[in-house]
Amino acid sequence: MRIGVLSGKGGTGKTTVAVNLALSFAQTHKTQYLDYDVEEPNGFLFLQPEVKEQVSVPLLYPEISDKCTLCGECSKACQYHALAQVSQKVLVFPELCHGCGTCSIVCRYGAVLERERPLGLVELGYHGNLRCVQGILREGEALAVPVIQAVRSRAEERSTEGFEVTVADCPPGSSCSVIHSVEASDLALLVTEPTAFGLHDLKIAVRLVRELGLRHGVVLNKDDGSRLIRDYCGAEDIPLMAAIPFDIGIAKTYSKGLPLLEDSRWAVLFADLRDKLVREVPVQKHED
Amino acid sequence: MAVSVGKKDLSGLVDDRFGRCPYFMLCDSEDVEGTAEWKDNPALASTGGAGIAAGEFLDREKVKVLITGSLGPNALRVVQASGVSAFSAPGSMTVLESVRAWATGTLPAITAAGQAHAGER
Ligand code: SF4
Ligand code: SF4
Repeated sequence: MRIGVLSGKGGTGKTTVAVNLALSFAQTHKTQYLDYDVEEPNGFLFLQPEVKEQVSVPLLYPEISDKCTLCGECSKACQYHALAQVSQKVLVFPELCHGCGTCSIVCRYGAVLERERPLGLVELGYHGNLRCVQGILREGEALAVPVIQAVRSRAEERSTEGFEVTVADCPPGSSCSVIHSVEASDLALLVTEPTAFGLHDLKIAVRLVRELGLRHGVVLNKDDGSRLIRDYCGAEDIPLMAAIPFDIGIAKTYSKGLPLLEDSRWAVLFADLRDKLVREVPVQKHED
Repeated sequence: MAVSVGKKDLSGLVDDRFGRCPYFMLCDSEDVEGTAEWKDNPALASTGGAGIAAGEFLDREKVKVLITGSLGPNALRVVQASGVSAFSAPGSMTVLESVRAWATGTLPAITAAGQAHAGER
């Protein structure tokens, strides 16, 4: 089973929910927690896994050799304007390059050399029996998708360890980063807060998962008992999977960097959510 | 020479966005009124790197002097590499005034990158 945890924006408690849900699943299933929020990964701060593997994610960018005849084809072909052909040279703007390789294909003079630079990292470790994987985008880099894809291929496509449950902590917002990290989930959990902003962002997230055709449910964080989110879910026919009461204890546990499961009330709450998910989504053994 | 402009009119104002200005006024500095022509900024349609694309366009047009507001770091690199001298005019100047100010040497040269207008429309 693959659960994608989403929120319309940051700061709604998305990582809290994803981390604690993963810990809860780890008690009953072979589970992995994947942090796809590569621009601001913070699940590892709570899980403190022992890191066993660190792999660099490279990005290709061109270097123009002196075989260049200044024909200008490469710059015309680059849709990201990472190349500029002016007077006597071709300029390369590596930070705009998406590493698509088009320039080296169109150059008929073999003048485009492919170079690599580190775009980010994938780290893999264990918190008890919970496998934890995170992607980290290097500071100053803007291309999140290749790092997301590297996490995906390391943990989900090439995995032969047969995980029964994957909890994917997806980036906030509704960009292509989110789509790359949430697609192919069996269920998307949309984390929100009972405020007008929370509702606004929830609507955006709902539109996204509907477009992707994903089953979805809502987790209401900082629940104060108000009707706002409940009424919306009722009207839209979206199941409310869990409500986490507004409680000062959460802020305290959270600020100490401890998973909420240390507190038995939250342990029960997340065990309920886990069991509900197990009932609703069949857990498949991944053989291979 | 080229001036980034908002309107096809010599009494229109200088557009301070280099990569995202709607048009460039191209002319021979010896006879601005007689040779002025307006060209669409081909970079306007691009989603990123507009300053770079606009710089390439000026290179193709064999421009030697550019009057605009400021240049982002990428645009500055392209403009410098193509041997264009860039000058900064305030957005309150008309196109004609800016060219005259340049001719009398009162416009400051752009030697450092200003704020990039990345993604702005
Ligand atoms: S396509 Fe090749 S030869 Fe032509 S400008 Fe680019 S690098 Fe130079
Ligand atoms: S690899 Fe692609 S994005 Fe990068 S410079 Fe070449 S054509 Fe442009």
